[in-house]
Amino acid sequence: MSEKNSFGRRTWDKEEFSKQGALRREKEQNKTIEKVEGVSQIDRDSLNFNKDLNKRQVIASNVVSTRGKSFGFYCEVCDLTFKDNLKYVDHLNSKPHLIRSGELNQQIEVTLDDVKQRYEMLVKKMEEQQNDDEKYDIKKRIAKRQAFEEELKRKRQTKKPKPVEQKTNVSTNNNDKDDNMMSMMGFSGFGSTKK
Amino acid sequence: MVGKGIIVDRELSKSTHKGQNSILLIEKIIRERIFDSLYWKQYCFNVNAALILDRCVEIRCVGGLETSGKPMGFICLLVKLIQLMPQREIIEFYLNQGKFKYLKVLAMVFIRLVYRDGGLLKKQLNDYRKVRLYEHGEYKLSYVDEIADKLLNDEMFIGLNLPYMKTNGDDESDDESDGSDEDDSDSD
Ligand SMILES: [Zn+2]
Repeated sequence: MSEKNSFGRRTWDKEEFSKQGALRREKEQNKTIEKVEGVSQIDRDSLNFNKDLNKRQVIASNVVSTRGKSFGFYCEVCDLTFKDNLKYVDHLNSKPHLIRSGELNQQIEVTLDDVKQRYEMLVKKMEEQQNDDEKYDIKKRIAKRQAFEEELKRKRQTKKPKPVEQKTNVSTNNNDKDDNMMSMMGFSGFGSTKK
Repeated sequence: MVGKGIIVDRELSKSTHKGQNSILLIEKIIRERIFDSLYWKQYCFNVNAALILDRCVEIRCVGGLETSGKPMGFICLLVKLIQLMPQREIIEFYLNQGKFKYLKVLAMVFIRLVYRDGGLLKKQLNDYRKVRLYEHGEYKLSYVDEIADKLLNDEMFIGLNLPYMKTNGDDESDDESDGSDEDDSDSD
């Protein structure tokens, strides 16, 4: 691999060494990064970056780790946290993460049948969702109507006794004697209060 | 990306057209915007022509870059399809399915850019379904047939340069697509 040239200096077979280096690096990588068993892939559909906006999250104090959970975007698979969403997604797309989560060799080449299968699944999903929406709508409408009717009842109940109280109050202030007599006789005041 | 005077194009397509990589159909400025966007990194990574449908059926607008330079989902998915370069029967399945109109428009733009098949686009002129279109900084109401017409006659669409296409006068001479329809039924 190394020879001495005519000046007595050693020359290096660069190609050979770079090959060795690449091999060693690959070995090291394979040693340090292994698929983490029992982790699910992080679902990109559910990555909604606006979901936790303006919310405070309580982080358990017993999680003592220099890397682990802290403020930001957390990768469960690698136990790492990222300060902004682009860095987080870059991480999700990075080779070490993909090896750990077992997503590395995703099938790129698909057949028409694969596509049709996925399509049928999505059509079904859409139709189910539409049905759910309709059911939900009807329930919602019934609930709304019930609430409205109860409100109406309550209003009626509270409205009725009010005027009576007012009248009695007013009349007691004016002249007690007459009022007593009148209430005994079954009516409560003349002309002064309009119906 | 410029390094040592060499311009490097990232995220190349598997296919070439007349010796040029197909991804270069999209202007570099637009490509760079897309590759740096969150949508691209989040949804267009590690997907194939089947998985990408999950996103395609969600689109609610046809558009390129917003005025802020942020790419819309539509153009990201278009570029991803150009990169993936699925078999033609898959693209034609996208085109001919009936449930998702934005998936159809996606296939139409793909066909215009990559296959440059005017006959196939002319067949879409009888689809009057409404679609939302974002162009020149504003949203407007359009129709599938109107978009087919634009693709056939205009030089640009949602900020994309449309490559030269032969406009064949006779509509009935597209034997190729008829042949592929028969192929589909054979494979079932
Ligand atoms: Zn990770």
